[in-house]
Amino acid sequence: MKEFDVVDQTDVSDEVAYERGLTVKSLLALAVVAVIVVVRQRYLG
Amino acid sequence: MTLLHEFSLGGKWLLVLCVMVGIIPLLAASYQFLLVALHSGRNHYGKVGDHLPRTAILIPAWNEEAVIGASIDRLMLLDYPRERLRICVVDDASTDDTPKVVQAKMLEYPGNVVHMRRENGGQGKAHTLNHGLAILLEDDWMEALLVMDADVIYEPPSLKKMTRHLADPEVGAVTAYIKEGSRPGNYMTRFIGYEYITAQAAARRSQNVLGVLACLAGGAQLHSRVNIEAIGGRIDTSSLAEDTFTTFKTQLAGRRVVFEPHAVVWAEEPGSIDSLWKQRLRWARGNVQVTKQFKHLWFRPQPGHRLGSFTFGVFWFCLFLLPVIMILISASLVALYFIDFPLSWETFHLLWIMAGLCYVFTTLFALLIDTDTSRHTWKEGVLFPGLISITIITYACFPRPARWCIHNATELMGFHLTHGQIHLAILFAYVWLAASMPVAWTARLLEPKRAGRYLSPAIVYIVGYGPLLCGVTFNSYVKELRGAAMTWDKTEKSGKVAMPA
Repeated sequence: MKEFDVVDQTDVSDEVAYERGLTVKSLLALAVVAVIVVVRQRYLG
Repeated sequence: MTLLHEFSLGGKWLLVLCVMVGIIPLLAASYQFLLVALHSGRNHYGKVGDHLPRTAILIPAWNEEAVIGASIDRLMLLDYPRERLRICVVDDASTDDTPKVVQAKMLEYPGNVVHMRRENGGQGKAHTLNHGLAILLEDDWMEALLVMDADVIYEPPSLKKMTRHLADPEVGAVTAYIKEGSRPGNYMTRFIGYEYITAQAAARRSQNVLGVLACLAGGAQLHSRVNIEAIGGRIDTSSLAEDTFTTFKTQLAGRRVVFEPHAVVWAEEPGSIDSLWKQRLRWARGNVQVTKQFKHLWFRPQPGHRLGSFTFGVFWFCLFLLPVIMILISASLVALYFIDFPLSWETFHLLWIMAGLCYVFTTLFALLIDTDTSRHTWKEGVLFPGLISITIITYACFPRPARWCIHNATELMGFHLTHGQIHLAILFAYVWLAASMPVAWTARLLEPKRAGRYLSPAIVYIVGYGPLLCGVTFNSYVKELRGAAMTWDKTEKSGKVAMPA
């Protein structure tokens, strides 16, 4: 079975860090969409 | 003549508008994913605290001898003080050895396991839960209630991660992230695994941001005792969506419902189209009932809860009405084709370009939200809308390279597409959104046949898992309109759920 740490209920630093990571990932996904739009408009439309 | 001309012009733009209605669910889906990005700043972590309430775990069980023993063993491994845990199995008149297994566990874990026998069973999950709830509310021991399914696996830290939110008295209930855990899985469980990233990890985070939750997961709902008492001390039995009813009632009583994405619960989900169809038909019919029951709430903001907010209403109805929207788009495009072909072609392009952009953003972001799940479900994630829809998206977004490919491919095969064939292909693309649902249904019909073993999965990949779910939703409208009996088709479980190492 996977190893888990004992939970300190008030320590949410891991969770908050993960959620911040998601914000960055959303920007990455938006950047990919922007690249597709630019490529389409300039070269493939 | 002028009047006729104006009527025709007005009709044309009305048809264009009907097609453009299809952009609303696309924008809603993208907006929902954009809200996920705000979850780092708008969540409930600022109000959590040390909180270990005496928790009763209520497990409805009917003929669960294969899984109930192992479930109890795993629950005893939870990172939670044992003296504050009580596992209550409500045995819904099981005819197998469920009672014996539970009684053996009572001896193994004295004081932690309770067997509640219901002699007249078979009325459904809500009735079973109410039997257990009535007993639990008789004394003061229970401070929190966790409702779960017999076969799900809670990761050891999950309960503690959930109860910490109940330290805030404004929170009435907490739900966890259900992940598909069938091992070995198949194509269907991988589709569901990906679907749960979008429907839970993403959608419920966005609902946290909005401050309103649509549904507590049936297999992972933690309530404070105060909340259970405030909603009447019982679960609604009038519908097939008792989880959603409970979620709505909690929020109507003025308490928040929180999704804890880092509390992970593994569940075995359907491995065939038929069992998926039955499960989702029950859920979809439940949603029809919820929509009707709470009709006074939609798009009517009220103090105390956010169920009537405009955004929540748009999210709810975009899913609820998606099959209708798909039929409307196809019908309007076909009508426009005969009235004004160039306009229909432009409209079609615009819709599918929007679909393409939303598809890239939501799929890519969904795969990044839960990379552990994405590692084995990315193919199903990419093919979620189906190969045909992806082909149409590619053609709409990149017409020049697509035409070049088609031209060379047909030349290689030694034939040229005629004008008639090209227009037949265009009509096919126009009709596809509506047609994808009955085609998905044929995958279910073929499944029990010999050829269906290979053909049905192939159809799902070609048609898409999304249209399959839309087909189920459409079926739910029909069943509700006909007033079909509300049967509780229990999802078949094999006990092959496992937590990955």
